[in-house]
Amino acid sequence: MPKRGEGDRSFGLAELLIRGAARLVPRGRRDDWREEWLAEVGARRRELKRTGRLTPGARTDLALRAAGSIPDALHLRVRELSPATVATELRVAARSLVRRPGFTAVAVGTLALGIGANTALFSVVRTVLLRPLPFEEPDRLVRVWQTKEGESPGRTISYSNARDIGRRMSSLAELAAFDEWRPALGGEGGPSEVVPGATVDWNFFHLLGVEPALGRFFRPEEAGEGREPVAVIGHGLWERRFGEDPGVVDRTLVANGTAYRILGVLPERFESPGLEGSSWGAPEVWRTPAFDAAGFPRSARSWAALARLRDGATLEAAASEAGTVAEALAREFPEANEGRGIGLVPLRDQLLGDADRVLWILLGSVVLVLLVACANVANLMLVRGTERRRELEVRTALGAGGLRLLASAASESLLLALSGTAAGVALAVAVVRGLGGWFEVVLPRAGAVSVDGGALLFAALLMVVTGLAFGAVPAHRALRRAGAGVPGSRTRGGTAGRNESRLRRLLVGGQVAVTVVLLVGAGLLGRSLSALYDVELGMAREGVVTAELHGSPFYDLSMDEATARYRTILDRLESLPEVRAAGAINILPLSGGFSCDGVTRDDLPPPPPGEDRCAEVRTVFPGVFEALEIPLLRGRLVGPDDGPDDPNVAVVSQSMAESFWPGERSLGKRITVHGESAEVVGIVGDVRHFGPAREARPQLYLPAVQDAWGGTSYGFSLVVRGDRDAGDTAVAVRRVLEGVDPDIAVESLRSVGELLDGSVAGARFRTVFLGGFAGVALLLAVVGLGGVVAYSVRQRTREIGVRVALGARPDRVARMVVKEGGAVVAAGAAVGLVGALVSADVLSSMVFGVEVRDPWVVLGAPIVLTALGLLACWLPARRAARVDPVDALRVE
Amino acid sequence: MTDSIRMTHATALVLRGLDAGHAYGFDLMDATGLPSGTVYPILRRLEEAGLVRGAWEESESAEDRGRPRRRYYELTAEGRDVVPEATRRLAGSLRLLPDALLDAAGGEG
Repeated sequence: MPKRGEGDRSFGLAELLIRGAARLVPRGRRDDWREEWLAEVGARRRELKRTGRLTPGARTDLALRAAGSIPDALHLRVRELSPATVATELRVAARSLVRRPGFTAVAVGTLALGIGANTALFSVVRTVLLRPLPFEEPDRLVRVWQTKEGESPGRTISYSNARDIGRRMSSLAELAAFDEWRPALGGEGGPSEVVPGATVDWNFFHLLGVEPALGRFFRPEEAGEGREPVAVIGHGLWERRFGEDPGVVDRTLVANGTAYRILGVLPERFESPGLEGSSWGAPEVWRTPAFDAAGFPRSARSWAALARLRDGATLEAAASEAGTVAEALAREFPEANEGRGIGLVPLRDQLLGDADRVLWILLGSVVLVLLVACANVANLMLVRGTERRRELEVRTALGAGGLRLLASAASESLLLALSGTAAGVALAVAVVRGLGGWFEVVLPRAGAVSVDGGALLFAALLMVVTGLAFGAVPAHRALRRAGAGVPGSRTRGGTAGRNESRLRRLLVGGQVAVTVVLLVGAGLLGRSLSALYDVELGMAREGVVTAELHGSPFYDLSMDEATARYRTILDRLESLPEVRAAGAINILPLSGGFSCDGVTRDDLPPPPPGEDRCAEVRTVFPGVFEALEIPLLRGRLVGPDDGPDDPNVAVVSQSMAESFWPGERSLGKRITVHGESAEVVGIVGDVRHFGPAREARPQLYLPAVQDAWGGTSYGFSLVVRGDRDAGDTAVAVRRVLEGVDPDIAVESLRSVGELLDGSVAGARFRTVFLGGFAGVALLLAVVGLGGVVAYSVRQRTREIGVRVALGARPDRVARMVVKEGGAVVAAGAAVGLVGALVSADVLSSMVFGVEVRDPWVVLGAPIVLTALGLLACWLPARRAARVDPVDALRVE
Repeated sequence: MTDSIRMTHATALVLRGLDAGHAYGFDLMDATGLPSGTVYPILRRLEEAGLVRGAWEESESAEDRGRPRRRYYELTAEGRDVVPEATRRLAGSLRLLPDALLDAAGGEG
C-alpha cells in the first residue's frame, strides 16, 4: 500500500521503534497508525532541525516519545479484545454450539468420558497412594518378622523374639509387637457386637507418633499379668457406642466379659497397620497383653512387629544388622530360630501391597483413554473448522485482527472444554460414589475415596491441557487465516486441505494404536481371570455355605460342653432334609487364614533345628470333607468314633503324604503334631487353601475333639452343603443356630463361591477396570474412524461424482473408500501391536496362566480392531457408492 | 456522553489542550506535559466516545510543505460540552497548589 508523503527518509531510533510497535497494532488499523506516528515524529524532527535544536539530547527525547507508541499499540490491541468483545465471542460460540447439537453432544460426551474416568481414578490414587500415612515420619516405620524358606505367607514373629530383636538391633529406635484380638463387646452402649481389635505392646502408639484425640495411651506399667484391664478405642467405636461423649475417658467397655477402663480415643484419621492373611478389618479397640506374653513359647509365631528406624539408620543397614542378630538368636535358641532370618519392609509397602503398581498401571491406561478422546475431539474440531472457514474469511475481510479471530476460535474450544470437564466431574462423582464400596474391599486405605478439592484441581488441569490440545487446531487455523489477509478464493483441497487430511489420518491412526495396546492388556487380564476361575481348587464351589462363628459364647464352657454344643448344631443341621452334609473347620479355605504348625515323623529321629517342617494344620468336626467334597484317596476320614478318649488320628493331604513320606506308604505311619502323637488314617486330595493362584501346601486335619491345642475353645466355621442354592441353605443355618443358642454371633455367612470371589477380588478389580478403559477407547476409536471416513467422503463428493460419471462402478468406489480407511486402521494397529509387545512386561506380575505375549491376545486385538474399523468404513463407503454424479457435479 | 469516559486528570488535561487549539498528538504532549504513552490512548478513547474527531491533514497542503500528512484531532460538539467539566476537574487540583508554583507554571493558555 503506498504511503503518501513519504518524502522524508529519516531512520532514527524513533522510527525503528514505531515500525516495531506497528506489529502489535491490529492489522486493519496498522497502516494508518504507522503513518500517523511517523508523521508526528517526522514533523518534530524537521522542526528541530530547522531551528537547529536537533541535539543528541533532543534525539533521545524524540526516541522516548516514540517509545510511547508501544503502549498505544498495546492499547489498541487490547481494545480489540475488550471484555465486551470476549463476552460477545462466547455468546456467539455458545449459540453456534447449541445449533449443532450432534457435534456438541459428541464432543462434550467424549471429553466427559476421558476427563471423568481420569478424575475418578485420580481420586482413588490420591487417597490410596498419595495420601501420607497419619504417623510421624511414616517412611521410618518398618515391619519386622521372621523368615523361613517355604513357609506360610504371613509376616509373623514370636513375642520373645520380637522383644529381643528390638533390644539388640541398634538400627531400630523402638519396636512394638501386636496381635489380632476379636472381642465381643457387651454391656451398655449398644447391642452385643464382635469387633476387630488388637493386643499391642504399651508403646505401640508412641512408636507410631500418634496423638490421642481424647485422653491418653498406655503406660509401661499398664501391661502384663494382674494389671487393671485398660483399653484405647477408635474414633468410630467412640461415635457408635459412646455417642462421642467427651467424658468417655475412664468409662467402662465390656469386651469378652471383662470390664476395661477406657484410657483414650484415637483421632479419626488413624489407620492401623495390620496382619496379612487375615480378614481382620481395621481394629476398633486396643488392649495391652494381660497375660505374660513373654512366657509364650519362642516358636509360637503368632504376633506381628512394628519398628521405627533410628535417626540416620537406613533400611539397608538395618537389614544387614538383622542378619547378624538372626544368627545370634539362632545360636542361642536353636529349636525356635535355627534357619530363620529377620525380614524388614517399610510399613507403607505392607499396607499397600501391590496396590501401588496396579493403580499406576490403571492410571497410565486411563491417560491413554484421554489421549484417544482428545484425538477424537481434535478431529471434530478440524471438521468444524472447515465449516467455519467462510465465516472466518468474511471476518478477516471486515478487518478482524488475529487476536479477534483467535478469540473466536478459542471460545468454542473453551466452552467445550468447560462443559466436558463439568460433565466429566459429575461422572467421576457418580462413579466414585457408586463403586466406593467395591474400592474399599479391593484396595487398602480406600475407605475415604471421594472427589475432593485435589481431584477437582486435577480435573481443571486436564481441562486446560486437553483444551489446549484440541483447541490448538482451530487456533492455528485462525492465526494462519489472519496471516493470509486475503479473503478466500481457496478451493477445496489444496495444500492446507491435504495437510489437515493427513493430520486427521494421523490422529485416527494414533487412536487405533493406543486402543490396541489397551485391548491387549485387557485381554491378558481377562484370560488370567478366567484361568483363575478355572483352576481346580480341590473342593466344591457351588451349593456350599460357610458360617464363621465367634468363639466368645464358648469361652466359659469346658471342652466337653463346647464340643457338645458344636455337635448339637451339626446334628440339627444334618437332620434337615435339605442338608446333605455338615461339618466344621477352624480355618476356612480361601478365607486368607493360615496356620503352619510343626509336624514331625515319629519313626525318624527329630530333625536338627532349622530343618523342622510345618504343615497347614486344621482341626475339624466330621462332615467337613463330605460338605466340601474333598475326595478321599486312601484310608478313611475323620469320623464320630474318633472321640477324645480314642486313639489320636490324623488325615493328611496328598502333597503332604508325598513330601513327608516320599516313595513310602503314609497310611499307618505316626506323626507328632501339637505335642501329641497321632496315626495317619487317611489321605485326601489337596485343596488350594490360599486361592487359585497359589499351589496347595501340605495339609493335615485333626479331629477337633482330640486336639491338644485348645480344641473347641475358639470359634469354628460351619461348612454346610445343601440341596438348594446357597441362599436358602444360609437361612436354614441361621435358624438352627438361633435355636441352639441365640448368643452365638455369626461373623460372616458366605458361600464358597463368594469366598472364591473374595480370593480373586484383586484380579477382578484390575480386569474390570482395564477392560472398561479398553472398551471406552475402542468405542471412541471406532466412532472417530467412522467420522473421519464419512467426512472425507463428503469432501470428495465431487471427485467421486466425476469418477462415476467417467464409468467407475459404484462398488469399486466403495471399495476404494474402505481400502483407504482400512489402510489407516491397519497402520495404526501395526504400531499398536509393536507397542503392546514392547510394553507387555508391565503386566507380567498380574497375569496368571497366560503368557504376557500370548499370541491369541496379542494378535487378536489388532485383528478385531481392524475388522471393526473396516466395518466403520463400510457405511460411508456405501454412501459413496450411491453418489449421483449429476448431483455431485452440479453444486459448487 | 460523559458517562462513557472517566474524567481522569489526564483526560481533563487533554480535553483542555484540545480546546486550546492543540490539534496534533505531539503538540498535545507539549501542552499537557503528559507522556506519549498516555496522550494517545486518551485520544483513542475520546474518539471512540465521540467527543473528539480525528482527521488527516489535507494532502495538498502537507505535500506543499514537504512533509508527510499528519493526523489532527478536534473536539466535536459533544466534546465541547464536556470541557467545563474538565475545567472543574482540573480546578480542583489546582487549588492544592501554592501560589508560587502557579506563578512559576506561567500562562497555560
